[in-house]
Amino acid sequence: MLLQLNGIFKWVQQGGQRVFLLKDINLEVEEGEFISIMGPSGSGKSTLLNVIGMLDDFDEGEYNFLDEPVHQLKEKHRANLYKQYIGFVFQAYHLIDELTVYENLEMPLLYKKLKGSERKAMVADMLDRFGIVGKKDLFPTQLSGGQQQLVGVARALISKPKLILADEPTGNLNSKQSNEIMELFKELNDDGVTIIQATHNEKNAAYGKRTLNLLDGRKV
Amino acid sequence: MFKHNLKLFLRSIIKNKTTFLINTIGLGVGIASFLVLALYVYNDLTYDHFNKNLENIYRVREGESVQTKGQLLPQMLQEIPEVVDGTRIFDWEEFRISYNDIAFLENIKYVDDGFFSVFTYPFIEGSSKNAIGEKYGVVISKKFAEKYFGSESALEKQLRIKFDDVFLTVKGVVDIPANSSVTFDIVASYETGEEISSWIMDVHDWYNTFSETYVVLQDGTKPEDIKTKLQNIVTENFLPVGENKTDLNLLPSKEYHSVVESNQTLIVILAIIALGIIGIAIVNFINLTITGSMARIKEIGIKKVHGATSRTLFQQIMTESLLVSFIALILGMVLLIVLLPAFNQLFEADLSFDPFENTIWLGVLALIWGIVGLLSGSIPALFWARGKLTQSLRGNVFSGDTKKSASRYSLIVVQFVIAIVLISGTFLVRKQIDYMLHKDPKFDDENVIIAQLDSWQYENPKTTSQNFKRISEELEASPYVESVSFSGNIPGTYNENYNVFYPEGKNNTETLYLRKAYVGNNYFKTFGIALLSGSGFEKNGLSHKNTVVLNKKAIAELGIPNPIGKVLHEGSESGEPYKIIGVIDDISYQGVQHEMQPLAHFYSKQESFTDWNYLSVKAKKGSSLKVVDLMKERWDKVLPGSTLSYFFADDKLNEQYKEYIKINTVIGWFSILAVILSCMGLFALSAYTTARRTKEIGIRKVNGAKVFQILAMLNKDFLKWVVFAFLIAVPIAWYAMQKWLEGFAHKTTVSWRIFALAGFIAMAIALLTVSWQSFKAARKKPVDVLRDE
Repeated sequence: MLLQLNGIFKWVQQGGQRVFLLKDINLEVEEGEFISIMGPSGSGKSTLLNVIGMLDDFDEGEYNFLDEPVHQLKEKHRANLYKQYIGFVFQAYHLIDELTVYENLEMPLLYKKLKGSERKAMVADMLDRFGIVGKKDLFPTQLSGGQQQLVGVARALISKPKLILADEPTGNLNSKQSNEIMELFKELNDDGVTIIQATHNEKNAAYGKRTLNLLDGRKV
Repeated sequence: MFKHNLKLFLRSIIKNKTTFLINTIGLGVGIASFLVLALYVYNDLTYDHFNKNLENIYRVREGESVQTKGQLLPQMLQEIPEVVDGTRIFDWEEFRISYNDIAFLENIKYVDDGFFSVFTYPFIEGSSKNAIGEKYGVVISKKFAEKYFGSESALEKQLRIKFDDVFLTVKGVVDIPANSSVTFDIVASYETGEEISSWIMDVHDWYNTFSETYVVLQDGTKPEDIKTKLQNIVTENFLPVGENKTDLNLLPSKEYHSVVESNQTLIVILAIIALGIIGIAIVNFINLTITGSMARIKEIGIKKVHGATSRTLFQQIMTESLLVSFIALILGMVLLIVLLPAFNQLFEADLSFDPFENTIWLGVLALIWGIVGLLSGSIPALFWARGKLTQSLRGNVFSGDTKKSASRYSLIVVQFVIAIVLISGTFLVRKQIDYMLHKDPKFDDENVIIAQLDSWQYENPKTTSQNFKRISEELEASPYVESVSFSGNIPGTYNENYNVFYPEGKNNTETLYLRKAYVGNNYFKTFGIALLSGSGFEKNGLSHKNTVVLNKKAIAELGIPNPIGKVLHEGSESGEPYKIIGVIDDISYQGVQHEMQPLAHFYSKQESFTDWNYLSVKAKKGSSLKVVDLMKERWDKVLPGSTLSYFFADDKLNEQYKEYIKINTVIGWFSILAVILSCMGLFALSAYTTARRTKEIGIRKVNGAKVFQILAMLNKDFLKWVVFAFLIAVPIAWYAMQKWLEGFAHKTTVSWRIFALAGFIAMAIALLTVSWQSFKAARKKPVDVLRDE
């Protein structure tokens, strides 16, 4: 089993009242799954993804990732865990504007303290695989949205994660670009990468093998 | 990794050119001005430090006066074993000194053998040993050597005195440090001096005070230890013997500059301004860096998600802030090197900046770099490290730091207080200068033209005297000229020559201390000085021998209702008698910053006209220019080869205000600097605040607010703080102005207009700075700012 959520609660205090963002979420994810999380705006999709990605904490419940109890881990240990196993894809791509495509892909490797030659090989491999070798010296603002997201996915994959978390990955794209990205996810999943995506698009959700519906922070 | 950081850094600079330029230039200017002021202060604090035995050098004073009796030093060396070395300096001689065709009027000082062991000037040529031991041997300064000999060696060169067959031989050249209290162009021994001018011997007695005296005490001896021995010398030798109560005291040389020469208030003010400016510049820099790094919070979020640790992020921002502050530091040094000559010229200073020669400056530079780099790096680093990851990915940094804004605003207030104080100070100093320049001098400052005679340049005194006489007679005959007069001094150049006078028939104790001036025929008439009673020195065939004209102040001190005809004796009750023949108004014979003194004009009938310094000519109203032409023509004709050097009657007087014009320029420049720095601070803060409020602005605009209303709303917040700064600045400035004006005998008033103008300027500049930001924010389309993702 890749990860397991048991009775996860997350809330904020607002005007003396607890407002629940996540309410009693239970989820088990096996390696190789492709899960779509669906629900309207404010239903808690992003919050759940952030909790799974360890970018955000929760108030109650247990979370085990690869048999490590995340809820008991220290911040630093947790960070090491997601850095090693999880890749993120964002709706707004979140590429660094001052870096070229090549440098954006190389950036995570710098933090892994890989040697220059290794980094070069891995970036070249990724550029090749996504067919963006010709764009490697361009800056994000010189690319279309679809191309930017392609770089975003490539960057998420470069450190060979077990799990990809994608928060509305096609939210800013037109339908053609959107299809390309979803096809890409499908291929990746076929290669064995676990994917969890948040979306409110039925068509995109259908790419997943399993769908999780959320409403007001609760599984329905 | 370093390469990656460097690349990112360079690209973000290019992207944010304006901010980067404002930031580094601001800090660079701040560092340059700090260094200039620091150099000045350091130079002042290390005055005379080049002297190896500075700790033991003392200046001998008789009471408050540094002029001492000529017999004193030999007596001290003989009687007091603790006095191990010493020298007198005789500084009353000035004459033409020439080398081939090069001739100048030079001031020569006569000193004792101890001079070069008391003051350890570095010798460039020759050596301090026996430098002036030989008769006619002299030591000259580097400047003097360059003036006469250029790049040639000066050793053994012969300098001619006047037009006589007397020659001085150069035995050494010294490089006098710029911050030496005792300086000279050319020195010779007393023996040489007595040979050149025999009158020197007569004034080295136990009455006249013509020399300055310096002594070196034995290690460990304090002035108190020899106090009784000093007073013994007074009682046994000073006239009248046994009754003289002069307090003979020793002033440490290391304190001399700070106590007597230097303007301590100015040094303290400059030091405060220096620290204030560097402080403001650093804080502004840090503020701007923080504001800039806010914009990059998203980049940091992305990096964190992809594995960046706090440590790697810290390294990144440190690299950046150390690089930027290094650039600013270099810029500051370049500016300093460019500006220092201008500053030196303005202040007649001789400051130089060579951090490799004086390593103290390397330390200062490293300190500035360290403080700026570390602070401007570590504060944003804290923000970056603390920011919540999910928040920073949204580019959101403004969560809950409203408390900090008070401290940010207080910084703006402090900056504007400094700026307003300096601006109003500039105005006040200017007002005082104008006041002094326009105060009625009580002599004619419009129609009197003065020729400087410069007799030293003429070889034959007899013919020159005749020529001067001829010129003066021809000028007097001109229909454009009212009268002419020879004199030893003119307003602004009166000598510091005082003596005690004893009124005849009055009680002994009521003596009069008068400042003395020697003038020729028609002096008062030529200068348009009104006689309040009696008569002046008119050319009327009467003899003015042993007569004196006093000013109103002297009469007031004398306390006699009808002074005309009364007699004063100079020096003692039986001294030379002078009859008071006239009373003049209190004319401005010196700068009006000084208290009016009792002044006595004596008539002097010079046999040779070359003994006078000035020939003054009063033109008829409206004919000044014609008279100038006439004078030029006469000079050309009668004294061929010489050029007339002339000026108007109040020119020399106005030169006495030069010091204040200098102060005015400095304060003026630094107030401009303070305004610029304050504006940078305001710019940073307004950028930050408007960024925080973009959403609010959007909402207001959607709900019908006009650009003008938004602008007013944003600007009001800042103006409030400037007004607050104004309220704090006014009492501080007012107090400082009153303190400063205390130093003037005649002072202008501190008017409310000064503050109003300074406040208005500060306000207007602040408004412009803030509007630049807020106008941009107010014009943004609401749809752009209200979109969430």
